[in-house]
Amino acid sequence: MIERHWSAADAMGSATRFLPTARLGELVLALRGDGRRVIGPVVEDGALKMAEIDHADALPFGWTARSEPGLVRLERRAPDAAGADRAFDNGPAWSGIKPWTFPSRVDALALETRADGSLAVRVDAPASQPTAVIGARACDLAALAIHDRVLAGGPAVDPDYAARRADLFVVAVECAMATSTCFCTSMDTGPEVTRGADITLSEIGDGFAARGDSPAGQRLLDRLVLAPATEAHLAQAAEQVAAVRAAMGHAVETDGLHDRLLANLDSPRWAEIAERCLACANCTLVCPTCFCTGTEVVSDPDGRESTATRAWDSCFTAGFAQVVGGGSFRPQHRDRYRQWLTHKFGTWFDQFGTSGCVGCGRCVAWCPVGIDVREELAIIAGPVPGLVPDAPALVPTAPVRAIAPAAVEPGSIRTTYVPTTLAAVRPETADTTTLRIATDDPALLAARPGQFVMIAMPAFAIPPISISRIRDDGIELTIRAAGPTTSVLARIRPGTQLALRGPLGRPWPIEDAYGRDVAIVAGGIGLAPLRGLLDQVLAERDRFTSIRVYLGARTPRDRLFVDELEALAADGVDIRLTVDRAGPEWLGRVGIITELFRGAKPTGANVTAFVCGPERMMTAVTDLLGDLAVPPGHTWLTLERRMECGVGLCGHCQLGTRFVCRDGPVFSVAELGSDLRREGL
Amino acid sequence: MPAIQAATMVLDRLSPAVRGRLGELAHDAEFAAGAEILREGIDTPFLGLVISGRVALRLRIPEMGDRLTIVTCEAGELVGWSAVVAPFRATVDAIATEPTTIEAFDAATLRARLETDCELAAALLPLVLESVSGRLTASWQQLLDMFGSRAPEPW
Repeated sequence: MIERHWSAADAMGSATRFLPTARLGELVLALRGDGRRVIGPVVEDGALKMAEIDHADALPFGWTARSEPGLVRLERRAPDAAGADRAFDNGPAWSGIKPWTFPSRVDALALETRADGSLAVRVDAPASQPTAVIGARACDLAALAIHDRVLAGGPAVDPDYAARRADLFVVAVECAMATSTCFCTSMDTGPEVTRGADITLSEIGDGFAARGDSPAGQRLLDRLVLAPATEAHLAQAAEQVAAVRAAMGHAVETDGLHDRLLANLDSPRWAEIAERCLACANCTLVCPTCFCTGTEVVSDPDGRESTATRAWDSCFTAGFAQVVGGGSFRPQHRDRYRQWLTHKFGTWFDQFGTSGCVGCGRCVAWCPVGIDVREELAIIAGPVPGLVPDAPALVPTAPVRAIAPAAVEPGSIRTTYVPTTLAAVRPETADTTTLRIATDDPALLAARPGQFVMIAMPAFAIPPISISRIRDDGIELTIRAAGPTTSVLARIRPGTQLALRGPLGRPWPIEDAYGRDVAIVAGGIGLAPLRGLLDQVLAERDRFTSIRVYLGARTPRDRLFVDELEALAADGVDIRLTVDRAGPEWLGRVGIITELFRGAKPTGANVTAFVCGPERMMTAVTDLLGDLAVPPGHTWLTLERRMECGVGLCGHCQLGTRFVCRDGPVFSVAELGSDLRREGL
Repeated sequence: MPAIQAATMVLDRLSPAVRGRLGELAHDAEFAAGAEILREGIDTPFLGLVISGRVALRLRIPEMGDRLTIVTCEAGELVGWSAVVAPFRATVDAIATEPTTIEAFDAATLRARLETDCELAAALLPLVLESVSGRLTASWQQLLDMFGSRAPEPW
């Protein structure tokens, strides 16, 4: 419900003053006098941009704007035309506030190998730079509130954002005009400014109605010694914003939009959009709420020092959902557009309890081919049942589930790195190595099977690596050398220092299997994240009615942990192994892993299965377990997606309503539902 | 459950009458470890049901110096489906990798019986087709080489 702010009661309480246009500069000077840099809209390259300003004259006085899908035009009013002296009749600046609170590039981690071989780990806290924004719109403030929730209100907090946000002073402007691409009324975010500002201005006549919305804002207005706004001022302000609201109408029907969108994941319209969409990422770059980032590492020539930079990324890029092996989970444009739209208007609610769209219309105006989300939503999501007489009832194809609770306390996930030492290296196969990491870090020592760490060393990318064993004096990581970073990790020598962040992610729910038959099914390197589980299950073997291990490997030479497993088999543990291909010297089983079930079927509701391997293998195993009456809630998988941050802040590993890194990577088949097999999700 | 009973469960899907008529054609064949059961390109002598042991199905790859095991068959699996599918020649070498017992149905006799006993044919051939289908599907999955090294990784 939008509250009406501009009222006579405000004037009577002296909350709203009148700031003459000629004195707007005093507001800017006062903010600068408080040590703040001041950001405001300026005309640059034919468009409106938020930039640092020295004085109020830099604001776009006399400029108005026209926009439509794929078009933005600034137009200068004639000196003698009505509105020639107005500064804010030009819609939202394309850049919004985001570049100032969430810059496109931020140094996130610096590593340096010192002369003695030790590793210096440094995370640069942003220099405190008090900032004031003037000219923020209601949509900008709504976007800021969403970023507060996403980047600072979840279990992992972006330290750079939190620092920048802590000292931000906002002078908002209530819109007196809307462009044709604005639809904040639909998203219930404007045009009235109802939250998030310190001062709200409404441009009227030859000045502004200025309302102090926070104690700091009121104090600043007090210092300017302004007269109270008159009834006429307040009435004009109220009429202006009411006219904007009326002009904008209700372009997007949000009632049930979440369910209507997710019920249409297979709409043919996605492919039709893809024929027009260039996947240029413009929409995500101008969106004030898009928060996806990637990590870029830049090194000095000798590789002793490097800096990891957090940089804006976009779900429209080809590499965004690329994973180990070079494949992408969203190879086609239609997959990426569907991801963007369903996230923004659908799954964002599941993750953050709010829409990801504020109705600013920037994505519409700045789309080079003029794709209009309002139109696409109406076509894809269809009519609201009940509003249209013959509209079919909603039949969701994918049930919407709440995210399984992970660590939900804000800031409860550690985002810092700790130096550790490589204590020992054990080659497992020609391309796979186990690293024993020594550490006394309590968090790492408290890791649980199924969790992972981010592993950093100077000059290389920062990969997520599953923990393959938890020891009293550290952890073990089993790494397959498949790219430049993992190849180097597989060759480093004991004594080398590595920076680790973690443990991260949801572990295997071992306690769910107490009192049941345990089936551990691993293919290839998928055995690594199950090794710690096997350790724990065997340590508590009396808690389970039976334990069976089913293993698949490419060839006999590609078997992992051979000595350990042979010792366990000799000790009576039921371990069954097959390989995909073998020479004549191999007398063991050859064939796909599901063939192992032929000899010992894990059957019925008393089975809990833990499965890890290539996704194609896991779906085959899942199908078979389903055929054998193992309930979907008893089959647990660990998923692979591109994980860059590991804490649910970079967006890369999203699968439907979940971030695999934070809400998983371990999920039950029941939790995943049809998302497990849906292509392009 | 006795091992032989478990191994022959696949035949439980046949009616007692059909199973009885099939049983008239059966004989147990014993193979020592390393014994050749089938040879690629040679007429398949029988359709067999592995009762115990393990049989490796191998392809010869001269350039690689030896044979590659494509799949192994264990108790309850059929060996020698080519006995009833033209041109009736084995598509792989089949080698016992450990002492193996097979319930064998002579190829020529079985084919002749299938020509005249439609009920037997209608019951048995789906089992054969199921075995061939499973092996084909497994081969496709093996072709994917899912556990192998793939394209360069981002890290």
